Amino acid sequence: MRHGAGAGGRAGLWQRWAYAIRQFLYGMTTYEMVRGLERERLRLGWQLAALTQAGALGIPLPGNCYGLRLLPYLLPELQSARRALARAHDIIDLCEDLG
Amino acid sequence: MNALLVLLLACAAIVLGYGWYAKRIDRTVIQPDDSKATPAKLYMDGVDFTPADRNVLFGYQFKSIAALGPITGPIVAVQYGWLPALIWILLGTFFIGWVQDYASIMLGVREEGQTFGALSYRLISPRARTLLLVFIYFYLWLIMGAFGYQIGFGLLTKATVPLGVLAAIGLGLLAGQMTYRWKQDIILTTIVTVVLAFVGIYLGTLPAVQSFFNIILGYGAAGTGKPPILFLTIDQAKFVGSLAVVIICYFGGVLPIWRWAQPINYVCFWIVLLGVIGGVLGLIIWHPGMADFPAFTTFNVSGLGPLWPILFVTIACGAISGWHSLVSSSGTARQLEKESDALFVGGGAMFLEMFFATIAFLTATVGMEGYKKYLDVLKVSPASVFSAGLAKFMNQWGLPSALGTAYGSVFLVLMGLTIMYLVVRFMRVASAEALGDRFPALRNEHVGTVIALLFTLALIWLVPFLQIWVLFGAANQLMASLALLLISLWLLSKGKQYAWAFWPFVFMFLTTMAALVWNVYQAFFIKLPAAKGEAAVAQVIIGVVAIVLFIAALILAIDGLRALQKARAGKAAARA
Repeated sequence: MRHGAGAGGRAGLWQRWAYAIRQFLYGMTTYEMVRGLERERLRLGWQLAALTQAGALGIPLPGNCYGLRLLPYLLPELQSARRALARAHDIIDLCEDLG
Repeated sequence: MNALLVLLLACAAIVLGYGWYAKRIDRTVIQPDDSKATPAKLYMDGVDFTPADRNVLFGYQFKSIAALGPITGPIVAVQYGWLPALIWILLGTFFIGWVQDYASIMLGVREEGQTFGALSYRLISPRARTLLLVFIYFYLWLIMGAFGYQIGFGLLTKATVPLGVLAAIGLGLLAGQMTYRWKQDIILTTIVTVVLAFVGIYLGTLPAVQSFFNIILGYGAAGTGKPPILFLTIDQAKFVGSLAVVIICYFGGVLPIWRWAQPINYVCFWIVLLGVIGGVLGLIIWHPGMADFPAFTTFNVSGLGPLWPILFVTIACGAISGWHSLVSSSGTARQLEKESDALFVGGGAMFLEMFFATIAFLTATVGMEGYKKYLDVLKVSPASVFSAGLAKFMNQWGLPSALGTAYGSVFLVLMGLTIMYLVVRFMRVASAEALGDRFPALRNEHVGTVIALLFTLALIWLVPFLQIWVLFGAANQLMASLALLLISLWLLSKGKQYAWAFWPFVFMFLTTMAALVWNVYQAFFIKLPAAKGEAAVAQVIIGVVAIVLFIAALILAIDGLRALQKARAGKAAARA
């Protein structure tokens, strides 16, 4: 019984190490690319939101009818847009991309 | 001393430094609280603020801080002998390096993810942010010069290297196309591009290819000739090499990041990782001693300067680097899921970088098999020492020396370039931001990039490498000391024990300011009177940059110490 538990423990330890190494390699390689793509996707989403909801700002681009139909799809990302766009940006933010 | 003993010492420094000292500071002073929401959770926007797994962040942090710095620094510094260099790599990381990286992350986490610019504005003075930006711009320019020189004047002037570099860049572009446009699986993309990149490195060592590049570089088809001098002291090989560097950086500076920088970095990462693994494996199999490499040579190395302060700035990122604080506070701190992850990510990555610097140290001290050969290869460039040493290590498990040297050289070129074109991007944006209103042309990305690259060429073509490197090291360490001052201020403002950050600040500040004074003295009083033409211009450039950095750092420190005094007086008044 104890032997079995030990073997299970070792297997668990190996799994944890394998997971950690996989995550480490992901962090060193594709993580930044994934973040870049996610950033791009969100920015395009925000632009779409701004464009389709322009009626609410008094800019008659699409009719309010279409804007309101799209609103439920855009709502989930409005909060992140508000946070990201309203935050004070500093040029030193760019240092992150230099790594 | 045996190479394995050096590796064991590095491991002991990690166990003691990370496992005891760092954990003690973390537990007793910073006291991370996982119930507190980190900025990544509090302000999650899916862009900059996003919680990430600690292992992912560890990889991300290490990738962000490891470049040519921890490789070149120790290789140049062992001119004082292996003992002082090794002591500083181990003790510098133990007492200062991890402190700065870890505390910068915690500062960012506890101050709602604010960058060092915003924090210096708030904690030091309003002008501190502007001075910090000036400082960063000059620092980045020195990075471009230091890396560009080694690549353009050293590595790319060898006929075995250019094809491997071109192949890696071309295959990086293919990786981008396969991933983003053709939507191919990342594993397939990796296998195809990395394997082909290795084929490219191998093809570069074939006689016909070497002969082709020998003609381009001016050595003649047999590769035995001397390249003709084209202008100043620049021969054809150096001209072609440096021009290739700026052209590659130009594309990196103006093309979208997903098209150029990211996929090329991705392919290069695998080439570099496999090189490091291959090198360490060979080193363990071989485990040589240091032969006649002296433990200590002299207190004053010709071309570098006195052991204090120059050794401490020369090793640069191998022991402590100001760059890490910028990356830690503006990037990593915003992605930390729990406060207790900060030590693993910041401290752990710094200790791993120390291990990396130790490997570079060993390429010079044991890989060259003797002090004389080390000095001979160092005359070409420190990067050549690394590539030759790495080739020697990999030769132990059967990789032919010629292929190993070409591989080591391509490895270093790619490592340097991946940083350089991103630095160009930053310089372009920084100049547009600072001067764009006065000179609208700077807002054009091509103009901004070309100007940054012309500055770089001026540095590479005119200034001797060791002077660029020492000045770069001084700027780098000075930024680290300013980060430590900011951290001390923050700790004091929170009523926490701050001596563990303040005394490292005092040591680093005095050391780096002394290094700058030494640079100014050497440039204006020793070298300038004896120099003529472009050599005189070089000394003026070095002297002026050193003065600008000195003044900016002095004002920042005075403002910082005033703020520190004010905070202490405030605390005393509150107690009374």
